[in-house]
Amino acid sequence: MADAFTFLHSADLHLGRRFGNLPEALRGRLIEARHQIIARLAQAARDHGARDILLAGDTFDTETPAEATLRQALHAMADDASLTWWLLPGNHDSLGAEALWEDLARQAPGNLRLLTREAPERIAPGVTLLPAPLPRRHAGRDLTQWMTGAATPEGDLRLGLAHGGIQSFSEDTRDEGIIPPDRAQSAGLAYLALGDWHGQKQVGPRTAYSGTPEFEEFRHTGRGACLAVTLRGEAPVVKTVETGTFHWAEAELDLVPGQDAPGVLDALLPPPGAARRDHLLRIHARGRATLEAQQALRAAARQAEPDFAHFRLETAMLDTEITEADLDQLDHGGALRAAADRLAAQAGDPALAESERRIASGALNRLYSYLADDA
Amino acid sequence: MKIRAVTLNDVRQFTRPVRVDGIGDGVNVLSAPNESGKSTLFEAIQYALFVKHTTRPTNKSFTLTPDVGGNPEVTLEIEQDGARLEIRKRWGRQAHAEVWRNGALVAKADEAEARIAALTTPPEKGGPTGLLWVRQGLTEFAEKDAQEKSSRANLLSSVTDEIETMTGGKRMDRALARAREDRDRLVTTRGAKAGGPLDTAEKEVAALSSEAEALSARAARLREALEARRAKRRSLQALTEPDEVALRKQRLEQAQAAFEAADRHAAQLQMAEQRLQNTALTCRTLEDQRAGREKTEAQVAQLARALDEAGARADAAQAKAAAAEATLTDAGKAEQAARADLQRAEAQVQAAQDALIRQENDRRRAALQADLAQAEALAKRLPDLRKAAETGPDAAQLDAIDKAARELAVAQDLAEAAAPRIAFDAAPGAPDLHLDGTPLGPEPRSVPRDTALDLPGLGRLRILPASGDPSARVARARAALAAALQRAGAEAAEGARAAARARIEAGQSLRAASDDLRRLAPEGIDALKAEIARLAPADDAPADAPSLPDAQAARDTARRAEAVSQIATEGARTARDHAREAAIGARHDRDSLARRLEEARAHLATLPEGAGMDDALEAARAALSEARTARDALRDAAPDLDASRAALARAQSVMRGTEEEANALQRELAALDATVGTLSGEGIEETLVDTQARLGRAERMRDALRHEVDVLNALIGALEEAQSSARDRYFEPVLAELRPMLRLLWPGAELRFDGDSLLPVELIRDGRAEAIGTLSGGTREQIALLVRLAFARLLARQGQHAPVILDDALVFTDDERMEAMFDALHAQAGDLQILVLSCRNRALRQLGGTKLGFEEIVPVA
Repeated sequence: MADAFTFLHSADLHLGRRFGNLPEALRGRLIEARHQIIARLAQAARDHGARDILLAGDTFDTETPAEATLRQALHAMADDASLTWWLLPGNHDSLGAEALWEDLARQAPGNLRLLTREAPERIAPGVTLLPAPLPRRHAGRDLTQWMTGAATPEGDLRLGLAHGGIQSFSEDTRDEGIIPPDRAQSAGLAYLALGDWHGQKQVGPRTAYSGTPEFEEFRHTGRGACLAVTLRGEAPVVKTVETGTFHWAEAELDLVPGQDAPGVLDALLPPPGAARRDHLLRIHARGRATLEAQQALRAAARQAEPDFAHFRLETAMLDTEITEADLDQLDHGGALRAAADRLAAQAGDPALAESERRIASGALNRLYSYLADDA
Repeated sequence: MKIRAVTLNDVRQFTRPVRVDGIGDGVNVLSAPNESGKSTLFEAIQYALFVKHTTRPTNKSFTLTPDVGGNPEVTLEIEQDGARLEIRKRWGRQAHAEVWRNGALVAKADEAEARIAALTTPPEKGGPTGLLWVRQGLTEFAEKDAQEKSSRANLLSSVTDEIETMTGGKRMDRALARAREDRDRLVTTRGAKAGGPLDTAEKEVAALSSEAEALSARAARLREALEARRAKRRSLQALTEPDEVALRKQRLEQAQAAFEAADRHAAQLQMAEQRLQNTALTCRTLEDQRAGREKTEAQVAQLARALDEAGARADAAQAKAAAAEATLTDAGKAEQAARADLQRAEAQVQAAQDALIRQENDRRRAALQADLAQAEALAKRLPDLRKAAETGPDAAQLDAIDKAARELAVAQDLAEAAAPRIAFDAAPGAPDLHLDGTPLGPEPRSVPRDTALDLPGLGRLRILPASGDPSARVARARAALAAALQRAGAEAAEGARAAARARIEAGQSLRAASDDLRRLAPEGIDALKAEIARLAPADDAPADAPSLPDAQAARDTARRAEAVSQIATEGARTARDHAREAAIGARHDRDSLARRLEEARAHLATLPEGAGMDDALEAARAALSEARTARDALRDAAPDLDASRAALARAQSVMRGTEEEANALQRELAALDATVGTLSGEGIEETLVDTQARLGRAERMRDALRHEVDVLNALIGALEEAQSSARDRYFEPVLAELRPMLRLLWPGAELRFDGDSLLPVELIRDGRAEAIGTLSGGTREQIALLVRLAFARLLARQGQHAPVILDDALVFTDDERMEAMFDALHAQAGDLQILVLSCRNRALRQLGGTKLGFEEIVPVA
């Protein structure tokens, strides 16, 4: 191969996911963004001079996607006939999903190639692709092993395409299908394009996970992306191309008494502006905070929430630092103070179960909130 | 605050100014009849304190305006913190509000209202009332309206700063109310509030669980279908594998070839077997032919002999048949003769019988002729007899005569019996007397009719029957008898009877003659004559005839002879038939033997000569040996045809079974394709994953709401407990004030308050708790009064004097208890101001205290 060969490496599109764990109002936007990712990948390919888009498994979220999901995806792929999509079965859409692959074979546009066999596939002059399709959801063996002995035309670049975990990167707890990290080396691969891990990960100079082009959960922070890979010379040139619409972030807000809780929260947030509309943010408040600080933190969260596509402040793990001043603010004496003292004692009573302490702490916070509103 | 005087002008019935003055500390009593204005005074005080002067009298709730119209005006003079204040208010036209302090105007209009409000925060604003009153209508502790409830609650929760702090006051109330409100949005006492967020979340969890379960089942069905389809496809693939197909085909062909080879060998063996049998048959035939010729020759000789014998037998039988035919002819003739004899004998018998009949007819005719003579004689007598039988009285007439005769006799007897009797005992020398010409003696005689007795010398003695002379009856009877006799044509009764008897006898004779005539000529005399004529003898009757017994004997003899001849004829016929049959049989035997002999000779002529037959037999036996050897060789080399057939059948079965199985698999795959197509097209797994995610979210929401309920319950519990504890501490001083007053009425009594409503709920007397609602009206009003006194006392101790106004508050209380109440009032009066308004003059006479009254204010000229 005389010239450089550039292709797009992506995986884990999980088309058909519906985001039932998120608020109803948000789901439509997320589903639409997921569908649009095909066009975004096509655009990324065009932008980087790639004619081939390698999808390393889990293009579909389930083995039996809805007809609409399938058809619309195929139409989107067919939209630019100059591009070729190379589809590898992953664990979510393994070859065990016979109906899916039969439908794909029946309906696939001309620029969609299904990689359903462990057989070398020449995808371009001087470039041979060695796919490792998943025969079933859990392969139970290293599917890339055959690449080592696979014969390819003399002088061809050998590309590996596989779906599964390498060492601890697997998102699945099953370890039967672990891919050796040195497979690229052992099989003489110019590049091993991997899928399964939704975050991007460069495993070695010639091995990488592209990550999902559009995140769908808080496990990874940021926007989804793909990789534009150019094979030229010894090492491939791998470039990250951001493709995701939504920015996902999950952060911990560690508080200590005396901190400016709203200020700390504000520091975690992206700058105010229209971009916040595409942000999904989940913040776990931890540590300890006074009643007043918690009150202020919640107020700040309520203030910020409408800016975002999704914003959630979790305070379940935030302990209440009960100070005399806070209690005095409730009342110096009398029944209210007596009630607050009692709740404070319960919140800090090690003899009580954690759940009971949290209930007492919540009740005290609520009392504080009521009286603050009443003031 | 203490009230010192109240002035009213244009207030209800007070269209002219009145004033109540001199209201002192302690107990003050305004005792006046009903409708005198006590309640008006009470309400005027309230208006002065709580109703702004800007309130229009046209307002429905404004009640001070007199019926005749006007602008109500109230002046309230009070003492507050050592100063004398005057609150002057007027509503309606020229409405105003003023506050005067120690004779100086210190505030007007709104400023005045503000000062007044500061004295007594009205109940609706949550402040202390400044007044404690008891009206007859307010003795009940039930919360009649929101204002009353608010008044009580606020009164109790803000009696003092200390109590405010202790109970949390309004902040506590609001916090508690918010917590309850927040909780009540989520749950009720029975669980999640219908339609509330928790209920919605729980329902959503349940619905999503159910949906997820259904989807899981459908997804499982899809997976099962997919798995089944994979398995079927594998099976079909295995069946249609080319190597497998070729192997099955090869096996079938091998089995087919083996079977065909075995079948051909079996056919060869069968042919060898057939040849062997044919050769053996030829041998046996030749042997049989040689034995047959010998046998046929013997048979021909035997048949020739038998034919000779049969010819002789046939001739003898023919002769015998001819003799029997002659015998039969003779017997026939004898039989015909006997039959002619019999006919003649029978003719004789007939002739004898005819003679006997003719004799009988003659006898009969003679008898009939005698009968005819008698009958004709009787027929002649019948008219006379019939006439005699109709002459003379009949039975009815005779009966009438008898009756008339008996009546006459009776009448006569009666006349006789009724007639005077007369007797005459003549004196010596007296002349005889005669009655009706008969001497009259001592024997009495009846004198039935007017009779005259001549008494010689004396005249005539007339004897007259008494009135009702029976002789008249006699005369009527006699006349009746005469009439009856006349109708019967008789002159006397006896004659009538004789004539009647003669009639009867004539009738009897007539019947006897008629009977005889019918017996003699039942069909009539003409018929009798005809019968006689029919029996007349024929003109051609033979002159003589044999006797019947002789004729019959001759006939019997002839009959027997005829029978014998018949038997003989029959026997001859039978013998002739037998002989004829025997002759025929003999001829048949002879002819049969002749035929058989001819056949045997013909057959013999067809048989080969002996030498050629021996050569042919030898050659056949050699061929037989050769065929047997060939057959045995083939049999020893024969393959197992059954085994090869079974192998072929099995190979064919395998092919057939494989084909059927493949067809079945294809059908099942088509069905599974349809199932998979349907289910997978619906995106079940996508929906399932989504539903499970939504379920997780809904569960988190539900758990969060449950946690929220726990938090709110914990808060409410803590607040309620703290408040309850504070109230207990708060009620203690109230109860301390109340207790001595209660015990004036009921020794040892206690009153229990409700922590929420702050109202008394139970009175404990003699260790027994009684709900307030169950107490008598008097007891309830007494408790109401004492409770207010206790609060007033408590307020007073805090430096907040609140006048207690009792407006007919003790209407149900009896006089004895009234005394005790008075004691309580006086005991508590101390530094309290108590204003008692009542119409019970007599009862209140013992109360003591300052007496008050309405005084008209005379305008100063």
